[in-house]
Amino acid sequence: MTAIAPSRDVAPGVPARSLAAELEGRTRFAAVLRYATMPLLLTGVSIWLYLYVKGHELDSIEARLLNQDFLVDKLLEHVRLAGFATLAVVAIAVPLGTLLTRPLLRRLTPIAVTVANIGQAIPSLGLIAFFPVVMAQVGFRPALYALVLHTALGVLRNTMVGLDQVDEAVIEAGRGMGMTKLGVLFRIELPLAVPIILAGIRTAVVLNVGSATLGTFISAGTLGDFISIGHALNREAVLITGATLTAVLALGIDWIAGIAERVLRPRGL
Amino acid sequence: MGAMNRRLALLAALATALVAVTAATLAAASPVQRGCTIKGTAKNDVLRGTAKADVICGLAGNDVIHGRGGSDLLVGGRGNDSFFAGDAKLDRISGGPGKDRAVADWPDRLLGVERIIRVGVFLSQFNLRGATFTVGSKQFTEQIILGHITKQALEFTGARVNDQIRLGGTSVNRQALVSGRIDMYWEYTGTGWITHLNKTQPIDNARQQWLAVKREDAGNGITWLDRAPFDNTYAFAVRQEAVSRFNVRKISDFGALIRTRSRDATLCVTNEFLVRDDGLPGVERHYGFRWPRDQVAVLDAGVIYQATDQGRVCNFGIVFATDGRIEGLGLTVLNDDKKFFPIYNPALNVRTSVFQRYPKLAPMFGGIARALTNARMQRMNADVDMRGRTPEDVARNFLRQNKLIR
Repeated sequence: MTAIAPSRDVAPGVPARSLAAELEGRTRFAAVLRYATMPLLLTGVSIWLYLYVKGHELDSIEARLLNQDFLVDKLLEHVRLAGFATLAVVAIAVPLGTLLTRPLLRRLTPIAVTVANIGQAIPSLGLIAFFPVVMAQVGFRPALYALVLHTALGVLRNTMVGLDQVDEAVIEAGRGMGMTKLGVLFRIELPLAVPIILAGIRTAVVLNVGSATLGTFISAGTLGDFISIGHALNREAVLITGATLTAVLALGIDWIAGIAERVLRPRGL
Repeated sequence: MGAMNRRLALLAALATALVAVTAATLAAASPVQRGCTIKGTAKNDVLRGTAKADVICGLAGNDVIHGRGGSDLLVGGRGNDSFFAGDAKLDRISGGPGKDRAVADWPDRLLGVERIIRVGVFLSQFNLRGATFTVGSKQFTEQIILGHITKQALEFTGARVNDQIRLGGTSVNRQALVSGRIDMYWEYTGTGWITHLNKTQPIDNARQQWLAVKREDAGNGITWLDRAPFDNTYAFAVRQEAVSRFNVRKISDFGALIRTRSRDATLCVTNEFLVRDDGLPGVERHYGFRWPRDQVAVLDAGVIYQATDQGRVCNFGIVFATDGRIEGLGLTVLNDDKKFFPIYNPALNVRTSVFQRYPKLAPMFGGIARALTNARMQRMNADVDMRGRTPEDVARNFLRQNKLIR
């Protein structure tokens, strides 16, 4: 079993420091370049997409899809679905993962990890198709549940692994200093597990942004509409717009999550 | 005396010419008369052949000629003759002057016969031994059945078939056809026009639509063979028991429903129906209502039948007119009273290079297409979707019942 490793945006050997500290340092130029590459790239791609669509003569089918109202509509549906799914995942999986690593429930950890591994192996398309059937309902809610179930397991697993890899000796030391069990959890274990938990959440959010496209199949809209309609009606510009926007959104959010990961990572780690 | 001689000579010449012309005519009319194995008289005869190859000549009179076994040559001669040659052997029939009638097998060659009734199997006249074809199809029931009909028909003529039935969706099949990975699949005229040729306005006459798509697609190296009469167009459906509750029997009734009981006006559509000119935007413009978009659920085509039958997600659904589940689930199709929906006749699409090598594919699939009526296609779809029969069986049954194969 492997946890998703915390991302290494820093060159090996360079001690990880806070963003602010790093920006002040001698590596300032390199750091700016590193952080600016992705947004520059994404901006470039977006401009290319805009010019591509603009230079394309739209027929009435394409015009119904590639207009500002529809685009904004779908983008908002997409962000709303992926955003709520990620929030729900964090709210469910982190506490649950913490609970499962407490001594009382510790014996369940291997079982939970196995279940989590299996859960993640179910294709997201299967989950998207499953919820409308059992709920007899389509749209936002079944899509949300499917995404949550699909990505929660990764975060759950990373939470448990993150807490598990905290050195026993450090916990003992905390207890020895007279800290309560809860104090040890919040002041030692969780902070030490944060990088791994954050890596899990970052993966989850990117996965959610990508999988949200599947919402198109159960009436939840999203940018997936462009992809499926573009494919069904052989309108390349529509398909490319949907696919490109989804990719830009996923990479952009991954970039933000990368920065958040650095900022939120406890100092001294 | 000289004058007398001249007249005699003239008469003689005339007589000679007359005899010569008569002989020539007779010889031309029945070049095989001398080879007749069974010969009638100048009166009305009833002639019966043997199990071997006969040459039966009726000569003048209203003759009745039975070929019976063997590849026969039947010559009727003058008079209203009747031929019976439905013996599953390749016969040749020459009716000659008069109103002749014949019962003959599909492969039999007939000349000068005014009324022909074909018996036996249609495809026995084609021979594609040595040819190999790759047949594709889309993934829904009707397409799978059409794929198997094509495969079995080709195999009946001796061709070998590489089975790519259920290859993928519309664009996958189209790309495979253009790139040469498959040689043929059934496409609908409306789909060819709107999806492949990127048009937005359909043509409302079935034949004109077929001609237009055939003409324009020729430039892409695709040959459209004859269209089948069945029309797999879009239709609005509702569960039978709810028709009176909503009081919607035709599409123009939707306007009132949306105005007065908008909560009941829930609709399931496919995502493409939402944006096609021949989809919801066109329906709304044609009928003059606007369906509230938050009452529209977008689902996969296959799911809509169940959803419409259950009536939880939506009371109305967009379905395909020939789908067997309409009958199977007891759905009622609403009347398109202002004639909006375009025509979707299927026709076998063949790569032009393949068609040029095997031009016989045109009459062959023309004959098959003619037999594909709305009622038959609906029943075949229902046989698979509702009665659990396999598409292979249903296809074979169709070909046999319509005397296309043995």
